[in-house]
Amino acid sequence: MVDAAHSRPSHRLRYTIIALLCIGAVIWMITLMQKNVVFFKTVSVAVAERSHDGARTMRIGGAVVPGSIHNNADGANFKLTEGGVTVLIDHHGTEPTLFKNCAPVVADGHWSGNTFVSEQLLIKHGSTYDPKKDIKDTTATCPRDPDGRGT
Amino acid sequence: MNTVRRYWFGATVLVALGIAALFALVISPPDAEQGDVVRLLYLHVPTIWIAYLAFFVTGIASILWLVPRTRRTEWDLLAGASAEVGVVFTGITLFVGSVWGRPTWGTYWVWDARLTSTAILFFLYLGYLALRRTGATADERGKRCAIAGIIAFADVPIVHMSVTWWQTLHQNGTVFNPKMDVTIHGSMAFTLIWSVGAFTLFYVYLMMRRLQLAELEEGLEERELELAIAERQRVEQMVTV
Repeated sequence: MVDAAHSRPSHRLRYTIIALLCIGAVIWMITLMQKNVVFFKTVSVAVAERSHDGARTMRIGGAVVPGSIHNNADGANFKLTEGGVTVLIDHHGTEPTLFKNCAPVVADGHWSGNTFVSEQLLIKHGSTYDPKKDIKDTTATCPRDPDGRGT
Repeated sequence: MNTVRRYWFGATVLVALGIAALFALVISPPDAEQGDVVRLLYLHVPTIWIAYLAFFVTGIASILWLVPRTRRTEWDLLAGASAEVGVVFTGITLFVGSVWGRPTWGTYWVWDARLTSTAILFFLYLGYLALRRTGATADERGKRCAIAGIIAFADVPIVHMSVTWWQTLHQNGTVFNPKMDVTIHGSMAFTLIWSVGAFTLFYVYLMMRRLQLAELEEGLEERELELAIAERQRVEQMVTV
């Protein structure tokens, strides 16, 4: 940009501030990313590391065991399984639309004894897109995604 | 490209996008799991792939400007124009993804590695665009932005690999995953591929118009400088006379 005709220092200052704000936002988000680099622990890992984690807020991910969902006044409780390990989730609050048998779920909450108390459930949607419905809502094992990895 | 050819190209782009919309909204089927909301896929994925392309072009143009032998103002203008398009497309990706996240994941946003690194990408290049206006001369602008444009590109592979390197809520790639196991088929796959092609043409068209504008701006500034110099000379002559 040729300058002599219209160098406007005030505009340059404004854009310098904007650029600095953007860098600030980037630095802030990098620290957030470091915190969330392990966004959740799979059930088998979470159970193995339960004493280490104590009561801190964390997330645990797996597949909903078919037939284990019991709704109650406060939310629901259900079993979550992964890698051959199963855990009871005591959820308080609403459930996402796609929550059902075999759903790949990430629960946000903390350990309370052997139960995981959660306040938020997220569906770890997979990368498969299919127009055909080939899974029925069955109470048998989950054919497509037994560990809730989100296929 | 002359005006007639440009109009034909623009019309082609419009038709390609129209066909993409037709397939995305009408012809392709709803998904077994998430129903009609899957149609956001055909906008969300092409926009981020084009953002990758745009930032790649910015990076290459930055290198070409930085190397003294190839240094030309045109590379700097290309880098800037492409970054603008990239920022817009990244913004669209984030917005559409967020809208899509609510009915599928159950939330508009999480700070997982994929979403966070993409938000970082947006602000990195937004900062780059602000940086473009902090230089007093074209040379200053070129130097600062060429370096910034190359460094910022480091985030692109991070964004792409985030779902592989780290545990994220965002799923792995449907096409570009580590196993290259493509998990989309039939008319859904066709719609996705067509949309990516249509948006690529759209990118080329946007770049053409934006570069034309940039060259006009450069021309305008030279003209204003000439006028300012002429005015100054006239004033000086009046004073000396």
